[in-house]
Amino acid sequence: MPWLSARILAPTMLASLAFAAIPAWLTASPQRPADRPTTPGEGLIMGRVVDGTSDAAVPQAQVTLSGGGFRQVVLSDDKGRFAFFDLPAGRYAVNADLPGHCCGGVGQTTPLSRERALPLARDEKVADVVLRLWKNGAITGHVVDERGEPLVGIEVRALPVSALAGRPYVRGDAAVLARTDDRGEYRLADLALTSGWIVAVPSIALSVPQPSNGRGRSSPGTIPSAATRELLRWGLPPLSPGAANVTASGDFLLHWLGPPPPHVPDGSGVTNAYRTRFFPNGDGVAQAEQITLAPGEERSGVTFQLRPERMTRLEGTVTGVAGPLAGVTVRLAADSDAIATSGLDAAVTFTDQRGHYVFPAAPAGPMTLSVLDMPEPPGSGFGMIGGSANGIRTATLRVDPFSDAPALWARASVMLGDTPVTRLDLTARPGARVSGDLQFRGSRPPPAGVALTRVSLSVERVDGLPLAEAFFSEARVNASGEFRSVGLPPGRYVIRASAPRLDGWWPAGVELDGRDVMLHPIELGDADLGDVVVILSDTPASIAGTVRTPRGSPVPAAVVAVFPVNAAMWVDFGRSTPHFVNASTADDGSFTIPSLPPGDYYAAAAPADLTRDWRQAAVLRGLASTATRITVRTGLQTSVALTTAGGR
Amino acid sequence: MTRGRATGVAFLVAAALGVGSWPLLARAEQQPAGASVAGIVSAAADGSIPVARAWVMVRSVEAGGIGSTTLTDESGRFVLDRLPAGRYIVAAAKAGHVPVEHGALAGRRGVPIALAAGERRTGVTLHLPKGAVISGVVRDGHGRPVTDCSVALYQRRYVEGRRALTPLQTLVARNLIACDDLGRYRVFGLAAGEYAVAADPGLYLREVGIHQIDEADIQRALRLLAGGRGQAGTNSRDQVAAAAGASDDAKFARVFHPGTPTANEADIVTVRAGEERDDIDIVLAPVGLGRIDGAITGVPPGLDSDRLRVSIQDLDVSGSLGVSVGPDGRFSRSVAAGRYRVSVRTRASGAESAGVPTSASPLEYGAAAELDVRAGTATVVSLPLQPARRLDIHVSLDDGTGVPPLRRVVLAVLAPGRPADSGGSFSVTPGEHEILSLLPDVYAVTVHAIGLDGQPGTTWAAQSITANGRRVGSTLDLRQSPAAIDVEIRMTSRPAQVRGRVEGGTGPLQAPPFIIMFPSDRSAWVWRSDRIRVARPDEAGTYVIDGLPAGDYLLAAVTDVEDDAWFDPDVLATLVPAAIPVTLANGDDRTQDLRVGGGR
Repeated sequence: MPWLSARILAPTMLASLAFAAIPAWLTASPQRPADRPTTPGEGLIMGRVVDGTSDAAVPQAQVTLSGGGFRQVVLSDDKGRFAFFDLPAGRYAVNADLPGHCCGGVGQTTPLSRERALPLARDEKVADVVLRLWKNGAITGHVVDERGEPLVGIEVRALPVSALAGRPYVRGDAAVLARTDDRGEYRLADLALTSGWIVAVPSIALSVPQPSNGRGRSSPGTIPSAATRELLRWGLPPLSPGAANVTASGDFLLHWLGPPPPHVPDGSGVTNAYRTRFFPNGDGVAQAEQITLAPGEERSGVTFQLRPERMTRLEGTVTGVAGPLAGVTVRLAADSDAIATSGLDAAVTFTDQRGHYVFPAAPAGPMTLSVLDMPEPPGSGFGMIGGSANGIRTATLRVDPFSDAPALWARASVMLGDTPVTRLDLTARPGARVSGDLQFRGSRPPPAGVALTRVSLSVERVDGLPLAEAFFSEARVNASGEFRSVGLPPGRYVIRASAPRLDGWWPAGVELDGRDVMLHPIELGDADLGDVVVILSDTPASIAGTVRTPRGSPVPAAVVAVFPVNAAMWVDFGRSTPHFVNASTADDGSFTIPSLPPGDYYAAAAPADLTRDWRQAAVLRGLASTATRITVRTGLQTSVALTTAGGR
Repeated sequence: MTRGRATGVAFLVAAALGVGSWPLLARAEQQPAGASVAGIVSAAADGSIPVARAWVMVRSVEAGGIGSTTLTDESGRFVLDRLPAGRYIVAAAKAGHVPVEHGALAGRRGVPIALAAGERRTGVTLHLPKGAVISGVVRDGHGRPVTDCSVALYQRRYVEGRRALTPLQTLVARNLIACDDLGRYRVFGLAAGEYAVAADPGLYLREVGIHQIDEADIQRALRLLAGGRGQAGTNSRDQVAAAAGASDDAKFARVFHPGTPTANEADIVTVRAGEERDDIDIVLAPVGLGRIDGAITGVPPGLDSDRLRVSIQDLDVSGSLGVSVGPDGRFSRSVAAGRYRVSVRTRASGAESAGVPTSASPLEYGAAAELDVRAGTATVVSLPLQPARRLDIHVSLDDGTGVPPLRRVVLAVLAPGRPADSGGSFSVTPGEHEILSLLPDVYAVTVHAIGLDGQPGTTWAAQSITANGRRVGSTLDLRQSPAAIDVEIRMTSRPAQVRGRVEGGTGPLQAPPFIIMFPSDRSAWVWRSDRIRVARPDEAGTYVIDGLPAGDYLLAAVTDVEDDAWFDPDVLATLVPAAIPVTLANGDDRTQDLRVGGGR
């Protein structure tokens, strides 16, 4: 069965897609490499690990040499020195690692600059490799309540700000967590220097409906799997009536994921409670200060004083195609962006058996309410739960686009004030599906059968955001070359294809009624969209070129950026970036880009500290000013000669 | 007792979760007006330091679970109302404080408050002390802070009848006690007491087989650069490979404050209530480990070595280490210097389980040995496999005829002082024969009845246990026994009980005493014995101990005792001089008043 996996709060998902341009020589082979070359040589690589700021030696750093099918690791000595012996000729990656530090690659002169490979000729001895490490930053502060008393054991999150589809993007899934101690102090450490950070104290009300049996004890079996999933994401044990962490009576359970409120809410749900705050004192991402950190910098005084706000009760019913929807997750977020970007909903609840939901304590202000009922294969529920380095849990939602069960979506805006909202009913509608087939254009015999499933497809929101929290993967190709997406909510989409494991074939375009929908968005309403054609070519459009200094010398390890001429395509281009490509030059200054969609492009020799978030207008304008304009066409290799000092 | 224990643990877990997740109960709107309990939460024993915004929970003794929850107001006051009549444990918690139950010192089980229908109880004071703090810096051998580590606190607790360092609530530890980027750690909210503090190296430091560049490497590289031939000294390929395989090298391992991998060499840190210790630094540097080299002998032909499960238990720290066994029955593992028990066992194939042995996965063979391991040496241990003994168990009435009307009888068969690799708890259905497999060893046998309603029965007790027709006391010696043993458990429906009043030791906020009843016969002082019982007097100062088998007992009252210490023969011995002898026959209902510290 062609299940798709959509990861919940999966930090690696976006990372791998947004920063796909990893030099080929760095990508490791799937098997663990050997610790020695098959044919040893007499080459030597020797060097020092130093602190990038002070130039001081860094002892006890792990220095890894890889390349040529083997990998060796040593620890630097007290003077930061390392050496690798008996090396055959080849191209090597040499990296220093130390907890709490960044970078450490060959040629990295700033935390932002890129590492490069180290070419080693036969019997060559290189003695002067300097690997620079920079200590990551830290943010510290206090969390106190309205009386100035420390809030103890409260979670504080630092959320990195990067770019997505040409716009700033707060990566809630990559948050770094800390907790306040008994003095209310927290320390968010090991913060990367390559992005800005915003800091938040999350406060999320998680309520679970509890039908009472009239004797003050609830009946078992009333915890929806969605609630369990939500708790597991927070690293908490599952709810079950009678379990240690649960109070089971009344009409709902309420877990406060964050600072506990100053008072217990009464039965009407009207209470004072703390809401999620963003430093310095905002309700949402938009009001947050972006903190950038220099190497080793500790930004102190990022202090929160939380003040309780009046909460209100919000309730209603969620209806699907066949009647009330039971056990679905209902999310309430302070603004629509916050749902996908910060990962910090204001409140989360679940419908009961009658489709009824209750937010006993919802914060005031403009709110967005959303529901996604994704068909889950029977018996699978939700899959893997795993911890990640940052402490945020991941879970896998298994979805089958070829299933006939619809994905149901609902969304509503509501302005909450002092008055309880007793009837905000939502109707969840089936999303529209996108389907079509593959078309191979070329002289080779096209692949068939299972090989076709190696083509991966995604239908992406133009803003690159997930369809819903935790839900990215949306389409799949079967062995007949047909593809189908899950039901999608109305909106603007681009359709992307990739075929990295399909030898000799590259996606050349996605067409609907002769129109390109790979780079140009489609507007999806309620109606399904069939007859989409994904075109794969064995003679893709490609680029070959060189980078030289103004005096004509080849520049090895230079970074080349290629991007569309049409500035309208610099935003809202979806999550994947087939038309924004970067490459590194070889020792002779040459580079190739084996495949990209046909069109008009700028090619520029980029500065060495080109950030990974270079696909945004401010950076692109700068690059365009020194770029060379080229046109690439299917079946043709376009040549371009670039110079580092600008001009052509 | 089982029930009280389970709920006590439940509360601790709730308190541990409290730092990040506060379960709230929205009060039911249409509950009939019920009883209520009101009072104050104070950080001082005399009630003078109110604690605002502390969680107060009541838990019904009869219904279990957490009944209802509230927060104290700014004056530390609380009211929990709409409660059905019943007995309740009242508990308080707040992050940074030591969770407490009413009528008990921090960390001890509370005494229930009995509420009549509609009763309005007031004036309940909960003493919620501010927790103590232990903090410090983890540094490497050169004095540099170690950032890739976590810190755990341990306390000596009874584990399977012996005292071992036991980690505090790992749930909290995982979230809160990581070394920060300056090597610092801080553990707060601690009860006054004695702690061992240990630092664990993180994955970065644990990485094995990484060669440390040394001066010889540098000299060799410099010779090569000068055009000479570098002799393949250190860091040659072979050396790197050797480093990866070496097991006697100094390695990063768990290190106790101030810097020892050996648990019984740990400096114990004592904190008073609310005290802050900020000087508990730890040196986390590679330490010399010892090694256990084991050989399993007497492996029957046809027994696949994959089925040999070896467990290495540090006798001074709870938890065990696994190790894989080679096809030749040999195994090897680096461990810190200390006392260990190494055991091997096999189960019938197809029924491997990590849990308690059941008759579904009978033991086949096993062996165990205890040994001392010293740093820098390999300790060789031989484990000759022995076949398990087969026990055919059945339950009858005390007159030897008929079947007692019980849902089941829980038989705990434990080797005192040993890790749980020996014995376990087994469920025997009256009227049926249950087959148990046990390794040859000396076991303590304890019997608990479960009534037809599924509740622990106090109206039934074990009258006698016989093995192959011979009456056994509380211990079962299988070392020289035949391979198959017929065990009969006779249950009586007329157990004895003792009740009475306790004087002394009570007073405002003073915890009620512990009444400990134990057999006069010292050979019956075994871990988890059904003849060793503990009770707390209720608010009126009266206690009841029921479901007792007939026999000669001693009765003592003490002001405070650590959980499970009453199974410790050394502790019981200290109680003997002041204890009151009580001889009970079946069906006796004896009244015996007590004074704390001894006397009637």
